[in-house]
Amino acid sequence: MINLFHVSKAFGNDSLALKDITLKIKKGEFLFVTGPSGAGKSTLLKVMFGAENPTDGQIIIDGRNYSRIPRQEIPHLRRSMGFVFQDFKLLPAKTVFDNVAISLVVMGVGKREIKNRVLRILSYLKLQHRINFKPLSLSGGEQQRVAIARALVKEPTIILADEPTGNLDRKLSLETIELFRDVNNRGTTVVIASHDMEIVRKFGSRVIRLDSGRLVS
Amino acid sequence: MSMSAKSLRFFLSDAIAAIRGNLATSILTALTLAFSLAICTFFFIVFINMGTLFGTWGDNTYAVAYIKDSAHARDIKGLQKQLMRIKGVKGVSYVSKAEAMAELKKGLKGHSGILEGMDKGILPASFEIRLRGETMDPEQILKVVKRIKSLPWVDEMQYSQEWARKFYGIFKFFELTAVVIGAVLGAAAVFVITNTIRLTVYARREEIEVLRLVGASDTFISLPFLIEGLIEGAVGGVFASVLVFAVILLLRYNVPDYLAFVLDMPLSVPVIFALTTVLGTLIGALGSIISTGRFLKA
Repeated sequence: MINLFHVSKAFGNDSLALKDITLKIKKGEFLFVTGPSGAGKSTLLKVMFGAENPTDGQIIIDGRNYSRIPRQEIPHLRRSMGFVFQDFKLLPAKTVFDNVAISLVVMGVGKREIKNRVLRILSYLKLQHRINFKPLSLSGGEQQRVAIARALVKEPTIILADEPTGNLDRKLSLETIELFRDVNNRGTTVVIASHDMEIVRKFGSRVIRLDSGRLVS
Repeated sequence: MSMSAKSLRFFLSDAIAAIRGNLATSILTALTLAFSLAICTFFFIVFINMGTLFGTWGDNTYAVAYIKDSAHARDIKGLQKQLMRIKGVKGVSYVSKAEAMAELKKGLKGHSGILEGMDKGILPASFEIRLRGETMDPEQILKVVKRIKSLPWVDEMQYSQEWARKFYGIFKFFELTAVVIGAVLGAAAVFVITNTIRLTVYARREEIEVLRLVGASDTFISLPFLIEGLIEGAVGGVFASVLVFAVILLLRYNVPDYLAFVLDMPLSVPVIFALTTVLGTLIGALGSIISTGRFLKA
């Protein structure tokens, strides 16, 4: 499903953030990317998402070579993926409903279908009572779930999550990863970047480790 | 409802929400555009009126073709037709021998006695030919004069070469000044609007980033800004025409009569109103396209 061949990424004249990464992620896999801060975990996910272009190497997702598709086609590829950010990236002026619906609006989904799908996903994530709230009036855990709802509502084939538990307490962190596990059990490929080894060990999936931009295990 | 109508409603409501959310910035954008456009429109009116004045002066570029004494009435009529067909000739008027003498007498005022005893037909009949001085350079005028000179029944030619040369120079200088000032003012207006709109785009960078990350195309992101620019531009355009009319009304009572012509409306008030509004809308849209485009490419 996701294939990286000798991918490197440099920012300006600084040293490489990713060095010669070759990686294969199968369809329906649940993968943790670990490593210390600055190891290149976020960059790896951003490169897979098309938010950063690799300096070198090839990225093939669902049979399409990211390095060769024109810039204007990147949005179409992103619609088949969900990305969950550590800082949530929610729009503070919009309600929970609008924040989740935005994923479907950009895809041109009809109004009635948007309503049905958003209500369904908010109910699944136990957020139905927060539908008209603005993000800043929610707890950290609730904001994270809204961000997850926004990624899931478009029913993506791949979910990429960058330190999704970074701002959450232990209980909420475990709940969030359980949620990703549940999504994965339904057939979605999930890639989570996390430096929290306790969580990684507890969920015992395939783990890859980065250090200074290199894949070390 | 079709998908495109749905999308348009979404973009429109998004643009209106953005204007409401950033009301102070939106008003600032519309006012900046209004003042820039008002200055441009005011100069446009003044330059059009100055141009009309120059055009009137250009009518003084004329030549006189003296007719041979042997020409009959039929020949003179034929000559007049030939003159009218020449490119660069604006109009011709015939001056008979008697009219030429009467004109001379009038010119001499109290000294017309010196003409007593002279043959009344001593002055030749002629055609006074008005040339399109404002559009022709002196060399072209010389060509027209030569062409006239070559016509049968034309005896001599007389025209003010010096006047034509000076007038053409002044007219060209005026034209260039108008174009340069117009271009500078227009570019300044677009520059100011582009940067003001860029501020509104920058204020919403977080939203743009999220939209991009969830898979929005550049067009999807740009459209609400474009609509916002169109609305602000239209409001600015309307306000610009109100400003221009107010300034003209105010000045009309405060400028000397001989300068009042520069404040004349070259076009009707509704046409100026419509033009300013359309221009404002276009500048608003252009400003949005430039600033959003730069932001998305960055």
